[in-house]
Amino acid sequence: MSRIGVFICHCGENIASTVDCESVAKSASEIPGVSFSIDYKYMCSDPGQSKIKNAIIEHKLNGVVVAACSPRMHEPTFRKACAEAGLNPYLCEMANIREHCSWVHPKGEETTFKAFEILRMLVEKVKRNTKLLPIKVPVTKTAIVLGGGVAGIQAALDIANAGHKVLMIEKDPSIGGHMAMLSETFPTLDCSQCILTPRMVEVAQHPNITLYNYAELESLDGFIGNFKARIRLKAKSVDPKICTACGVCWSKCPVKKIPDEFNTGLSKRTAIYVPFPQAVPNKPVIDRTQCTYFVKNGKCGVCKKLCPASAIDFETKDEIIEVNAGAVVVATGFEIKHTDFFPEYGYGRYKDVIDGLQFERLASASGPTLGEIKRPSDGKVPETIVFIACAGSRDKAKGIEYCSKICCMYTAKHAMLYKHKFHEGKAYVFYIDIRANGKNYDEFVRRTIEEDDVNYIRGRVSRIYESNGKLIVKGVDTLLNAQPVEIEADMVVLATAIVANADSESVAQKLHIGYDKHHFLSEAHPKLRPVETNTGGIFLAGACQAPKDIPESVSQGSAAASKVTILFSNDELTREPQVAFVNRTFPPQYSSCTGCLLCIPVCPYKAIEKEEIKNRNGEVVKTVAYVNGGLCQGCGTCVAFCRNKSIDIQGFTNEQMFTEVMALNF
Amino acid sequence: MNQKINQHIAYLMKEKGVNLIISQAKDSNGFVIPHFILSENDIISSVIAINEMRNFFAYLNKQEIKSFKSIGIVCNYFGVKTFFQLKFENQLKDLELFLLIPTDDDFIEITSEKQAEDYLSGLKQSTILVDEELENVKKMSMEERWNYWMKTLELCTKCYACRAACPMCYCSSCTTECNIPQWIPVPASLHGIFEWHVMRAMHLAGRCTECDECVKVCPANIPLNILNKGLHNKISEAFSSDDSSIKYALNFFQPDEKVDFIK
Amino acid sequence: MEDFEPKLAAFVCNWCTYAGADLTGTSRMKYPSNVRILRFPCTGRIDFMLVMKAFDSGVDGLIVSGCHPNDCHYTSGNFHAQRRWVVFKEVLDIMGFDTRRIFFTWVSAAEGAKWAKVVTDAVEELKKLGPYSEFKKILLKKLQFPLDNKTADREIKTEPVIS
Ligand SMILES: Cc1cc2nc3c(=O)[nH]c(=O)nc-3n(C[C@H](O)[C@H](O)[C@H](O)COP(=O)(O)OP(=O)(O)OC[C@H]3O[C@@H](n4cnc5c(N)ncnc54)[C@H](O)[C@@H]3O)c2cc1C
Ligand code: SF4
Ligand code: SF4
Ligand code: SF4
Ligand code: SF4
Ligand code: FES
Repeated sequence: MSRIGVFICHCGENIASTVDCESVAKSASEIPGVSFSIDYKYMCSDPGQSKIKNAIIEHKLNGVVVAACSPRMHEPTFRKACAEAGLNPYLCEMANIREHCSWVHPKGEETTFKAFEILRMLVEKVKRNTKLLPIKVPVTKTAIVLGGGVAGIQAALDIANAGHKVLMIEKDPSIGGHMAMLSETFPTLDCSQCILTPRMVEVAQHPNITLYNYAELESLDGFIGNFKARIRLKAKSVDPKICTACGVCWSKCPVKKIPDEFNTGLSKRTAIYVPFPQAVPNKPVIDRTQCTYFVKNGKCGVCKKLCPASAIDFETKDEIIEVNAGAVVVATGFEIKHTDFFPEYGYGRYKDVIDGLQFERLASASGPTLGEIKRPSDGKVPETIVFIACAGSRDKAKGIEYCSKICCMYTAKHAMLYKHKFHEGKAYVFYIDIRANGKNYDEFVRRTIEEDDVNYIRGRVSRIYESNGKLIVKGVDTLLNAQPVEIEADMVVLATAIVANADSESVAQKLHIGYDKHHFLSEAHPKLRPVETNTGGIFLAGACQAPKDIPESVSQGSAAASKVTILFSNDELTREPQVAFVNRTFPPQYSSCTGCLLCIPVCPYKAIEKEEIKNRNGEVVKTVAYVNGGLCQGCGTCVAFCRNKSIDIQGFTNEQMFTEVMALNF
Repeated sequence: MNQKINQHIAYLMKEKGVNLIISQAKDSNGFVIPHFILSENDIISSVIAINEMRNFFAYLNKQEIKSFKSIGIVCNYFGVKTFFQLKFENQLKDLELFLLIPTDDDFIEITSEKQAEDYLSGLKQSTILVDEELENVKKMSMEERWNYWMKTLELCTKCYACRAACPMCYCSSCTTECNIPQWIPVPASLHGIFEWHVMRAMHLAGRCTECDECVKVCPANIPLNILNKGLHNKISEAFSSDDSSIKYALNFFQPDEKVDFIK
Repeated sequence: MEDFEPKLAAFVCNWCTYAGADLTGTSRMKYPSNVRILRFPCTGRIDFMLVMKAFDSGVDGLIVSGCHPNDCHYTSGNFHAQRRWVVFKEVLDIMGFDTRRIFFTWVSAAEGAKWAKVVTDAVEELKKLGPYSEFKKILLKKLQFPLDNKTADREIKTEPVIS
């Protein structure tokens, strides 16, 4: 027999002023199956909750309906109270008679009747509630950090310092990301490598961090707390354990004409190479797409002959390893658009029209010009430089409506660095708006303009062309009534748009996480869950989510790390039991599921899989769908989808919903 | 052609270990019925015209038939379509199937999904008569339509012959048989009948092969194909942007999809 | 028809429309009391069979509402629901069922005012249409409530297994 307790709250005057709570309580007591019913001023107060607890014990209630405010407000409160009195919390439901009744209707009989009706429907529903147990999921306390830029480095160090294992996967031979390429950083102008390299070394030496450089994620399966990843370790052709990084190989390699990625093509590298002197790990790899031995099958082999440690092995192959992890931090960073994206600026034809990263390399003391600003075409020091902000960004026609966020700042930095290095030089900046909204950022831009005498022109540049060894920059000054401006420049630096990685879509698909229309990875909530993704246990850090500067990337790295450590603070994870399940009770095939598997693509969380039911001899007797309770978030889409009702969802079962609907009973 | 098919059937049984052929024959009333060939002696020489042919794939969902493992089935265009759809829905597992489709003076044999796909893509089935009936119903006012159906459905006895004959209604426990909760009212009154037909149409939407078996077996002559065809048209009209690799419109959606009647 | 009070139910998702209706309350906006709100986890959970059952239980109209496309708490439940409604509405239309009585809308958690308007408009529209007697005519005698009341003691039906 049902012994339902009904508790009607006055919410002070909030409910009682329009609903006659006393009479609702009285009518409720007459609903068959209701064995206790009272009204009280504040049900959620301590005395109110005690009334519920006492009634549960005294009247041996096996179901509770609290008619009060929205369940979105107090459902946890009342469920907890029930649990404290020994009643399974999922046998408690709330009837919303405040937001959905007393507050939206005038005082009167109708409103009182509606409150009673709402309550009656919930009484019928609760009769069909079942005891549910929270789901426990074990947690593997190892985190994968994908991408070794500054955001990934920060996350890895924080997690490792909290005492958990970290596996860092970096696709390049060295970690460091874009920050390693920068000269000096706004707004303090401290040297980028000087602050970053100690961190990189710390990663390499940390006992809790395993670094897989020159590696890629192949696949990720499983769910929060229980991921299984396959990692491809690309063949390095050099055994890093034996190699002493003496440098003989790369100084003798005959293939010397490969554009150096780290120096953005401004210098050349060899086929066996360390990307930059401070690389971590500081061991070379062979670029097999360029090495003569691989391109001309078997010819050359100079490095192998000369290596004093015999560390070079042409036979190594890509290796795939499998690892378990409980959480993933995605910190795969960004890319920039290159000059060839801009027809109006010469399609990358003019050597002296460069992008921001190239300027960083020119300005870097360890760069190809050792920090002197020289034109790529003839090595002359440019006397006039034009900087163009928003190159591509905020330009709907170019498909990039968003603001790349950091360009205003680094353009100011570039202009300032140039002026510091070459006082007589003339620097012009074309801009649309100056967005300098960080700590000390606006002051930085003002210094550039006021102290370093950089000429800021508000307007767009419509065209650049070469004439007599000069670059003619044509634009308008919108502050001077759109007057045309023409500048003869020696060099032009485009602050090109920050875009998502080219492989961002495929990375997102491997991780089963979302991405936006610009292919930046999507956070679970733009305001309240900025580092989480829609998939439990996978977090975001850095510029893979949106354009970001270093302080933001680092904060997000730390935030993601704290999410991971919170997750790792328990051995088991407790989840709400609102999950779907495929019935398994239908003899003799053990399930009414037909195994059509049409429901698999319906689940937003890929929680539904195929399962084979086997008999004692191990033969497959039936193929059915199976819901992984660790992944299911409880939307119920599959439940409504399944034709023969083989899936149901706890808390909102077919039977509960059917009964609630039929109890409308108009 | 008949000769050739029969020869091939004999060959399949002798050489290929096929131990059941579901062929077609006419009963004394001229009604097309399945003809089960268990040995070469069962082969008969009567001919069923291709457009008179029925779709007996529903048998292949039955455990008793499945246990033959290696089966031949004589069918037409709709059989091939059914084969393809059932394969897509992970049915017909562990079965070795030989589809035999008569042509003017020969026959085609299909054993794989790939062949089925090629066959189907090369053929445009001429639309069946139902188009006209559907048009008529659609032209009616809402009240007329309601009355039309109520009058038609009054004859339905909920015998579920349509379900039994439909190759896509292969659920081992149909929702009609579920009694906790009782989704479809049991009595054969208009109430339960209406809900059954709405449900059936919904369950077949996007999956129905338009073979019209359901119509052929219905003792009350309910024009179920009007519903089937109507939903078929709706799906191709509303979700036509789907690329061809998508075989079921209802477990899929396009990004940013909009529906005009949802405000 | 002047004093006809339509019976209206609303199937809403927990995350947007239910919260939106909460907001209507918190902002003390008023709307007719004819409506009964049923909470579903997501529009994806709203089975078309339950929509039929609502009419079985005697409603004259039904609101079906959830998060706007791209806002579903579960990312895509509403996209699947949306396709389902397209087909479902077509079956009902072909059969002459009065689909003007089903009000499909999206109401976000911030659209308290929209919720009040949706309900008010629906009630007004239903007042014009009158009670759905054509459908009620075919209904069997109404089920008596409670259906039975000896089920609450049952234990968990199936405990999801985590592997
Ligand atoms: C020209 C320029 C100047 C700048 N100047 C400043 C400045 O002065 N001050 C400032 O605060 N910010 C500056 N920034 C911004 C700064 O570079 C970024 O904020 C920062 O680099 C973001 O770090 P990240 O770790 O998110 O990404 P990244 O630095 O891009 O690192 C991502 C890492 O992930 C790796 N990776 C990518 N995909 C994969 C994959 N699939 N698998 C494995 N590994 C992968 C990459 O190889 C890389 O190592 C500047 C940016 C530019 C373009
Ligand atoms: S649960 Fe339903 S939809 Fe999913 S495979 Fe089974 S029968 Fe098909
Ligand atoms: S309830 Fe939703 S999340 Fe859970 S298995 Fe079904 S579709 Fe997936
Ligand atoms: S036409 Fe009828 S029998 Fe054939 S697939 Fe469609 S619903 Fe089934
Ligand atoms: S009517 Fe629906 S549930 Fe019943 S057998 Fe057909 S598809 Fe399955
Ligand atoms: S949660 Fe609102 S529609 Fe999915």
